[in-house]
Parts: sequence; structure tokens; C-alpha cells
Amino acid sequence: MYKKAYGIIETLAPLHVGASAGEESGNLNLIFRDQFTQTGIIPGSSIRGRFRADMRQDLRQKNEGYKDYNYWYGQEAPEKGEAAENKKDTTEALVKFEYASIVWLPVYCPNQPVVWVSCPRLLKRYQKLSGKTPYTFTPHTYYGAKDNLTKLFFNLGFIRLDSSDKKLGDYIPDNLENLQSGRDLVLIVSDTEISMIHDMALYRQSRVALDANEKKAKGGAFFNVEALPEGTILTFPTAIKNKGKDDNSWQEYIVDADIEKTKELYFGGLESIGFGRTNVTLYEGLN
Amino acid sequence: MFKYLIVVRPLGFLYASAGAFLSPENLVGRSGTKFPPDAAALSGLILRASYEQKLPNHKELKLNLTVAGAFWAKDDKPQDFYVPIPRSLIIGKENADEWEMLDGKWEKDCTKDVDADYKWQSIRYWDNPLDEIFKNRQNSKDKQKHILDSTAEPPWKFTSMLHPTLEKDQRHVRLPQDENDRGSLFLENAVQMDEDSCLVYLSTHRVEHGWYRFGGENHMVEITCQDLEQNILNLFNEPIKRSFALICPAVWGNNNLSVRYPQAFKAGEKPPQMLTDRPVTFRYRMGSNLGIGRYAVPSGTVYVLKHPLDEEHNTWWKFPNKWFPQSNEDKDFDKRPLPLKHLGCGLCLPITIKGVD
Repeated sequence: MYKKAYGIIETLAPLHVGASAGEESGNLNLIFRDQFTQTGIIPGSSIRGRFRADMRQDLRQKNEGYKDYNYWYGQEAPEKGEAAENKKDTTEALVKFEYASIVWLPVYCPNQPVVWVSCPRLLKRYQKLSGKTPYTFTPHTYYGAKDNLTKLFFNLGFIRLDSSDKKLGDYIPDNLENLQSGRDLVLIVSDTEISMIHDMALYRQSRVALDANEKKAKGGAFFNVEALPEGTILTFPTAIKNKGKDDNSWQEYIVDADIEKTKELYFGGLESIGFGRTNVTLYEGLN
Repeated sequence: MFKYLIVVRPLGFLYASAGAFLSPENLVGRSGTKFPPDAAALSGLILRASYEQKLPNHKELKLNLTVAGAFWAKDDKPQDFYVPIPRSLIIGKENADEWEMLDGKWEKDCTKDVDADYKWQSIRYWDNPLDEIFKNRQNSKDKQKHILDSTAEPPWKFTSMLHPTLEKDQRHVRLPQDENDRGSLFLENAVQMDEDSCLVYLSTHRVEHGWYRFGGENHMVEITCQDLEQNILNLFNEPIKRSFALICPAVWGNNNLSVRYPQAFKAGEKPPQMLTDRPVTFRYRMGSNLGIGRYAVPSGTVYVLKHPLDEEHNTWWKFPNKWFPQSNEDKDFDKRPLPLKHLGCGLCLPITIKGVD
């Protein structure tokens, strides 16, 4: 049995999680996507890796009383060339992560200027992980402030705003830097529309390094990258192995991982140019 | 008899075993891809949970737990789950056909060229006439929302996930140190299920609701459990006369020999009439011991016997353990591997074949 918990990620900069350098070929670096809605995801292994590396670099880990990253995330197999005798056997991780999917995605549209968009399928996953009451979301309902608008102008056409739905406010996590329930406009679109709108909302950039003496791209130093925009809200489940009712692994873990409160963490690539900064908050699920 | 329906809802991806051929040199082999996880995975999960919680009836559980699957369902209607279509029915998107018996031989309409587009049918339509099943299939033209699809496409998609190990001090894939180092690229053949769907198994025992690790690669699922509806129980108690179809793969025979049908199905020297496909691999692990690999008759296989089954063996539940390998009734409870019947091996339901009285 595992204890239920879930995390909320808010991106504070563009976020690119895709195949890393040396794995992809060609010069278009795509992000990982969900198979059904074609919206961006962060694989569970990336989230785990980030948490694990953070704990490994945490200096408090050297002190008495802290369990180290090998305890929480599992002991690795000995690497080649390392003497196997001073390595313990591999162990299973006590903390498990699954992929993070989008809950709200900020889209720029000229007459608004920013609307957070989601669809029933994505919100259903959030509802399942957080244990909120199930709710049937209707496409084109909205919630939040809007000035006398009846339709939104997206790049590719208009979306009519049907009716306001106060319930949507319950599906906006608290304490976000960019998105506030009631203040900002959120909108539901259908599961089939989200992929097109998501593609419109992605942050895209061509990146090039110029030759030192000529105005042309250096060999191999030209590629295009796409990233989730700043202000995207994602959610992921995290589960902690639990031995029974009075087991307080969860409390121990958040102390050891230094994540009792919202924590700034970096995910994905291109950190050197400011990508990947996020706020992560862990919540206990309804066990 | 089965009493409970165990509903498995993925919290993220699930692992689909990619079979024997996936290696860094060959990333295209998909021949051994296996999804959904079979009943052995769930049986192990239930036994493990009971062992960890030190439940008092652990021994009884180990002796009697029987799990069968895997099936799947729409999230809001788990009791209307989908099972493999018997091979006597061929249901395509545009038309449908069925095999029938004429003078003891299989016959079908040669003028129709039907591709079996659907592999799964709802248990509610089990043994309904072909016209009825075909009329209510997925995507039928004048469909109303509340009608249950008689046949449907499975709600999962395969996707590949890269899990590279990065260097300790920089964001770069760990480089191989010498030519014996296999590097650190790990490509997982993962499955993503539709948010509105779940996997379904049948079980004789309850399992506590909660989050569990399931099916490999540390993937997490939410498991809930509900009583099986009476009309599904009735279906499983329906006596088999001469023809039936498997809804789970079957390994018949004994520990050393797999056969395509138990001896009991023979009439003198005559084997039963079958509609089947190439065998599927059947293997599971107990703890760290990998069981012997065997071949199983695939689900959907149809048997037509010469004589109706005896009263004492006329439902799957009454099939004796010794028709299956590892009956092991004489071994001590802690030492024996599970009888394959306890993993839902060869679970089957009676069907009607035209031309078989």
C-alpha cells in the first residue's frame, strides 16, 4: 500500500522537457506529449531525477538524523569499474512519481490578453489525483473576470464564451504566482480542441550560434526548440510506501526533501538560458 | 466462484513488456509486446498486500485466491466490461460475418471479405446474434449516447519513453566509459490509457482500496473493488454444452507438456473442432523465480466438442485442476507454485455456433 500525495508545478519560465542532447537528431527539439490530448507532459522519471539530485546536493544530508537519497529513491546498481564490495545491493525506491500533465495552460489572445485553458480530460486527472469531488466540465464554460466579452479571439478563430461556472474556481490550486481563482479568466475547451490551442500557446524559439568570423551559423549550432509557456500549471501523483496507519514516512520525507512548503526546482533542459524554473508544492492526498 | 470485480485505474503510464527483441540496436521489434498485464500480476499484488498487512487468513487466501483477466471497461461502467470476441465472429467496420458448422466442417461465406477490425466485445452482448452485435458497435451511424457499444477498440496507446541517466555534474546523458559499457539509454515501451477507461479483473477475494505498484517499471495504479453483478455471475454459471470460447489464454496439459485441449475433450480418437490462432507466450514470475515459459492457446479460441461436457465439468469453475499444469494438490502450501487455474487460465463461456445443435 502506498500513501497518496500529489504535486502542483507552476512554471516561472519556459519549460522544455524532451529528448536530451545526444538522443535526438535533426534540429527540432520537441517536448514529450500525452498520447490522447497531444499536450505537454513531464515524465515521472524526470521529476524523480530532479528530486533525487536535489536531495543528493543538499548539504544537510551530511548531518545525523537525515535519511539520504539512496534510502528514499533506491540504491543504484554499482557502476562499471566501482568495487562492488563497498556498494550495497540495489533497493527499491520508497517514493514513486508518475508523469505530470497540464491542468491550466496560459494562452495569449489579443483581446484578453491571457486566458488559462483546460479540457475535461486533463481536469479529470487532476480531480482523480487530488480527491476533489467529481464534476462534469462543459466545454466553453468560463470563470473569472472578463470585460464585456462574448467571444475570445484566438489566433485561428473565435471561441464563444457560453456561461460562467463558479465551480471551475475549485479546480484552480491555491497560492500560485500567476493564476488566481476569480481574478483571471479560465476557460474549458473540448478534448479535441485542446491540442490545437496548446500548439498555439507553446513558446518557440530558433537558437543559433554564429561563426566567430562570418555571419553564418556555426556547424551544428542551429536548432528550434519548443517549451511550455511561463504560468503553466501541471499536476503529478506521488506515492510513498506505507507500512501501516501510524507510519509517518510522509512527514519524514518532506523534511528530508526540504519541501514542507513550496520549493523552487528546475526541470528539463536549456537552464543556461533561463528555462525550467518552477515552483513545486506537494499536497497530501485523501487517503 | 468469482465474487468481485477488481478495477485498476492507472495514475500515469503503465509498462507494456516489449518482448524479447527490444535492444539498443533494434528498437523496432514489437512482436512480444504484451498488454494488459495478465492475472498473475494482480494475483501477486493481492497476495503481497495480504502478506505485508499480516492478515489472519493469509493461508486460506494463498490456497484459494483465483483471479482472471485482463479485461477493460469504460470508467463509469466497470460491470459492462469488454472481453475478447470469439473467433467464430468476424466483425469489421463495414460488415460482419461468422463461421458455422456444416456437416462437421467449418464454413463461412466466401463472397464476403471481412477484416476483423474489432477484437473486444462487451460482456453484455455475449452470445447475442451477430446482427445485434454488429448493429450496436462503436461508431454506428445513428448512435445515441446511452447505448453501450457492443464492440469497441481498446482504450490504450503505446508510446516510447526515454529514461536516460544523466551525468552527476552536468545535464548530459552519461557517456559509455568503454566498449563494454552499454551506456545509459533506456527506452521504455510504455502504455497510456484513456482517462475514461480502466482495466478489470475478476477475483474470488477482496483487496483493500488504495494506490499500488502494478505491472512493472514502478508504475502506480489506483485499485478499487466491487461486487460482481448477479447477471454476470449467472453468465459464468451457464452450463457449457458442446461449444464454448475462451476469454483468457489457456495452458492445458501437465508440467512437461502443453496441449491444445484437455484429454476430456476428445471423443475416441477425434479431437474437438477448433478455431484458433498462433499460440501466445505465457510466463510469470514468483518473487525472483521466473517460471518456465509456455505457450498458451490464445483467448477468443472456439471449441466445438462432439459430445456435451458432463454435468460435473460443465462450467469453467468446475474444470478439474489437473486439466491444467501445476495442479500440485499433493504439495505443501508454502512450497507449491500456484495452480494455473488460479490465474484464470482458460476461462471460458458457452456460445452458440450455427449448425451445432
